[in-house]
Amino acid sequence: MKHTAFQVVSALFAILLAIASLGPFCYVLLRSFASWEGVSFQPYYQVFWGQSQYLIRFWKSLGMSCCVGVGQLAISALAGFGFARYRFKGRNTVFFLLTILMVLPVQVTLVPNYIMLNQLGLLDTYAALILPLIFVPLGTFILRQSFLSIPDSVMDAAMLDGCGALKILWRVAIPMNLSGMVCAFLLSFLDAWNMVEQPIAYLREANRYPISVALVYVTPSDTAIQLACCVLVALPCLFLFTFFNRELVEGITLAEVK
Amino acid sequence: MKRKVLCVSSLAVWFLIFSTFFSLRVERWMTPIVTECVPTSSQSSTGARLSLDCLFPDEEGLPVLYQTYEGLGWDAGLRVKRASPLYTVMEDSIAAGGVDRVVQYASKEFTAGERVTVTDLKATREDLYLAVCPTGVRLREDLPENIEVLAQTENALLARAGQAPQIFMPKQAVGELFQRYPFTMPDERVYSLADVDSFFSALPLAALLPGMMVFVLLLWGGSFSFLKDVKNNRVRLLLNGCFMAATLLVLPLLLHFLQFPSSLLPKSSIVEVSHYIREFTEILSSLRHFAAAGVTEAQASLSHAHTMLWVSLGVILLPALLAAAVLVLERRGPRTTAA
Repeated sequence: MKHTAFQVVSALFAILLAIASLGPFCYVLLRSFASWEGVSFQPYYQVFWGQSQYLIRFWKSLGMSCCVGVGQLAISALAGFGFARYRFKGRNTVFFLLTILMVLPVQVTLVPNYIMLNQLGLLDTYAALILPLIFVPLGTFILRQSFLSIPDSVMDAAMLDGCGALKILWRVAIPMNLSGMVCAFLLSFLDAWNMVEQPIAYLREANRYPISVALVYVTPSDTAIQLACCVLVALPCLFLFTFFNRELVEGITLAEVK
Repeated sequence: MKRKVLCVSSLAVWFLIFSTFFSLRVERWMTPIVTECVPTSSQSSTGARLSLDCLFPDEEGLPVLYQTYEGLGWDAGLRVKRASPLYTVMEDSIAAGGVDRVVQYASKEFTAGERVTVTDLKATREDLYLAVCPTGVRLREDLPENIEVLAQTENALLARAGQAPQIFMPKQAVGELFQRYPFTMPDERVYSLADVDSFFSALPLAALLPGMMVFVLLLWGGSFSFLKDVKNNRVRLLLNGCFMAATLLVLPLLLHFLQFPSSLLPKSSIVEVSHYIREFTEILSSLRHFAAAGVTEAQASLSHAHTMLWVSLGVILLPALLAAAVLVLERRGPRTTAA
């Protein structure tokens, strides 16, 4: 009986949590085409057909986020493999420092990054948004944890077969850790897709702002257009989550288990 | 599950790419083309004066002046705004005290803050004006030399305009044909038959757009049903994917050749069907009157409009039939085994 009561309470909390999480999204969906005056697809017309700026920004953001995702995956796979498989002096200290960097808020690194990008002459370019995000240590952390799950015997067998470090990474470690790779890609992609502070700090021209920032500039008086724009922004995230749902859960679990 | 998500996403991506190309063109079509003028000083009156043609109705229907300005950031580009209210509307002109350059004519209605393109009216063409006057025809006594009235009924008028501007400005035509009264916006509407003809000529090409959407939707539906047995339907799925991609390759080319006359487009949404029904009901019913009276120009325009409407209907149906044929052939064809 006690067990059943607990189950009921936890189920209630789960329902409440679901409502609290899904509520805003349902509101966005409904309010974007329905109001007290009636149903209108005019906001969707404005966002998808009426003005090209929304979709152009959408594609630019998508391209930028993909670059960040792929770039971070390449860096993180190499770094994560190194941390997981090789013993070198200061390994744990460096990894600890990386973990600290991971928990630092974006705003802390904003100014040093700005100074560096200014010195490199990259301000007001898309590289200013892509490069700093490629080197975010979250991917390295996730892939290090997932590479640790590969048994040593597999690695040793590959080495005995004459595989070099890169070949082991490419032929053994990555295929055995696809869920970790997908998880790292997804998290870096979403990080780039949702960025707001960096474009405002690194870009001068509002024309270059990605869709996440441009959302703010959509006429605030026209809430329906803003909400239709929100639906457009949510599309890639929805696709990635529904398509890679299993890999995402597996990847996060792998990172937690080790 | 993954295959279904991928299938739904492929349609979403197709729609997003389609919408991107389409919105780029819609933006261009829907941008009002305007002409500007500066106040002129006349010897008879004191101070700079503007023509009454420069007045446009605002959101509440009150006549006001508009100016262009260069927008910044999100609103980049040349846009229109209400001119500062330092002017006085007189009986035959506007005393433009604190107003500099203002918008004089526009190819279509606009709202404050909207993007516009400025042009001059140097390029000319031969045109026919069809005027609809709900409260009766009140022609100007001093019609310009280039305008010749061909036929007239109680509430409509057909006139030939030699050296009419290449870009039709309805308000300019109204000013040329009818008496202008201060403090009131004219209720006469003038249409360019050259624009009407070019609109109907563009319809078959425009009909390819919904046709293309129907084609892709049908193919996508077929592909969705093939998902039940992917192993045996790989070639079919690939073929349908190629067809869908091919439509996206054709789309920019199609949009490049598609041109709509600005004067006949709705104020805010290009797909506002009620606007087209209202406008073309008025135009075609007036044309029918003149055609019945034996005006050859009206007969030619009417026949062209009818032909193009039927051709467009066929063009819409053609891709649907094509998609159905592809799906039937695919279903009848031999099943491919998995490699």
